[in-house]
Amino acid sequence: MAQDEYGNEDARFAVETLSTLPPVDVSAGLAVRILADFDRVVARRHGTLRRFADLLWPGAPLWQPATALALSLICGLTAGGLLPGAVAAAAQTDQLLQISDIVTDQDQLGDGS
Amino acid sequence: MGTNPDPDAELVLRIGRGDRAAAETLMRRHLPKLLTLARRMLAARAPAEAEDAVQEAFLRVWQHAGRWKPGKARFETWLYRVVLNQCYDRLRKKPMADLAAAEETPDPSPSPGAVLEAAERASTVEAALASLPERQRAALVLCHFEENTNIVAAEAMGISVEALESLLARGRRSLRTMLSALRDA
Repeated sequence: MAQDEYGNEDARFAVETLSTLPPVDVSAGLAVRILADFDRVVARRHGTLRRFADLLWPGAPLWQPATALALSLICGLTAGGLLPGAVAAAAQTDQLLQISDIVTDQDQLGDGS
Repeated sequence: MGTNPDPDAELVLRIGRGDRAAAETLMRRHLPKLLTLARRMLAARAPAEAEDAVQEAFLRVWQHAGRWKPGKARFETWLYRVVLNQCYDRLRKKPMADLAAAEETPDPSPSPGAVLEAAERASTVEAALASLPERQRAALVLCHFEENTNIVAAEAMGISVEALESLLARGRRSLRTMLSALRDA
């Protein structure tokens, strides 16, 4: 109980004491520097994108290489999804043909002996 | 959290898309509080160091706003934590000036009468605050100057509310002991 009272007095003292400190003023220069940082970050971000877009499609607005990239990605994914099935089917047919050729050859050899 | 949405979430999303007006609004909303926090934490150092700490914290915001996920923690709490970490880093780079040395530092802009007395009192309190261990000081500053609840302050410091209350109690006790001793001397 006595300790609680002591704690309350400490808290009251801290509030009174810390309230005597003057408020901190924000300098205009600091706000300007912080916003200049923002402009630099945004310019750098756009700069990287712009350079990449110019490599793909020099001079075009940003949406054109972005659209081209998106379309080629869709084509690639579609082809990647469909092609493995077609290749596997073709490979299976080739294997069947080869087996039937071997069987025919063996039959012919058997007839000859 | 669900009933009390983050007032900064929308601004942060816009900043991630490069919206300068949103950046300016967010900066004006938080800069005074963050600068006060940094100035009180780095009281024994040049004011420019506090400004650098806050500028660095905002730079982190500009760089990471695009990846901010609303709903995890309040943005303001994260911001406090970034500024606190900036202050801790700076405090570790250079040793703290002790209270006696701070007391002997002459006021650079002496003014007459009551103004001088108030300035001296403020300087003594600042020196006492600066001589507290950094976590006790952070707890006091977050709860007093920023008028945060204990829950927000504890979250910003990455500790439990009980640990924060313990830091607060020890900080207040030390402050009172130091300043009473100086007053009696």
